[in-house]
Amino acid sequence: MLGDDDVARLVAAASHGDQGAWNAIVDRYLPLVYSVTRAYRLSRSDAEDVNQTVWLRLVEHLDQLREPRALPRWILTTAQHECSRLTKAGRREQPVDPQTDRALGGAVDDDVVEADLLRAERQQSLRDGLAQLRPADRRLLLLLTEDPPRSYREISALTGMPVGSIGPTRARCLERLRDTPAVRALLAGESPAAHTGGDRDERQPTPQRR
Amino acid sequence: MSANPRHNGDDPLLAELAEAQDAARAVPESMRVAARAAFAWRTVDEELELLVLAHDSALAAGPAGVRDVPSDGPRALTFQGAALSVEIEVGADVMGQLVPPQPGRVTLSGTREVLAETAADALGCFRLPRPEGGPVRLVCRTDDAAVTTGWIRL
Repeated sequence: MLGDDDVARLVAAASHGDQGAWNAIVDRYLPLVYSVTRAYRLSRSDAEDVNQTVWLRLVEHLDQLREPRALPRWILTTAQHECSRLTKAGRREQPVDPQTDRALGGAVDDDVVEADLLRAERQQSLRDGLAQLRPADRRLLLLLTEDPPRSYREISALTGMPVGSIGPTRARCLERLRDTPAVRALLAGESPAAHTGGDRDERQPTPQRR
Repeated sequence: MSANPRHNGDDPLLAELAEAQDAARAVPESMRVAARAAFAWRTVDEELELLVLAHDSALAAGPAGVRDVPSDGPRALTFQGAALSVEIEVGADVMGQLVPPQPGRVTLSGTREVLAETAADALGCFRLPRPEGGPVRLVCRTDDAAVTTGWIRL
């Protein structure tokens, strides 16, 4: 699991050719890309196309990412652009209800998409926050969020923590989660997905040689 | 204080954390494989200059995405390079021009294979079939320049 500084290190390592670092970046942000394709109700094959495009573009841009911590926003915005263009292209070919100016059948409601995008951002911030916790805190929170849920007795057996202290420790872990840079940024409204930026931020005034 | 009231209570925060973990587990493995494999393109064709996407009419309407009004007419894109730029319009076909105008060879490639290849005429004009779905790029070679666009879906 990785913190912010680790992301900067991973980006640097990947841009020097480290496949392992690239895989770690993928593992961390792939769920964000997938959630965006789900928010736009893309078909599986469209989602695969968008996913591949986003990662190929990131490979091209690795050397130009001036602020690796902006990576989640870059990924989110790039995925959004690709998805929204597909949705718009689809709408042009769909019959439109003249009363509502909405596509008939299979139409994506903008408000529903927006709500799902916000949820995708929040979930990425929570996963990032979790990665920024110290290992013991992270382990307890992961045990507490397993499906099906574990009893405190099981968690006690796994962690060596007395049953009676799991509740208070849980509260402290969640407080520290709220206090991680990722979740603090989220609560302050500086989510990774401010609806600007993306790959346009990375546009260079002069062409880059690879 | 919180943008999301679910983060104020412990139980709602823990519930959303569980949802975040579930969402991560739901990603199809094929997408992970494709994302990891993209890295193999990092050093391919290093001799080609990577053009900068300077204009894309599909993005020009605004960054908000879902609320953009669809623009009419074919999508127009400009890829800018130091000595050679490429302008294309994507309608039923891909119509393009090398700028400054000059003859050359233009190749349309997917990640697995070359999809089409054509000559640009004396004015730099070329026409290619419009590809389906997946990411592609255009590689253009003239007497003086060898350039590639970034990966893009047309």
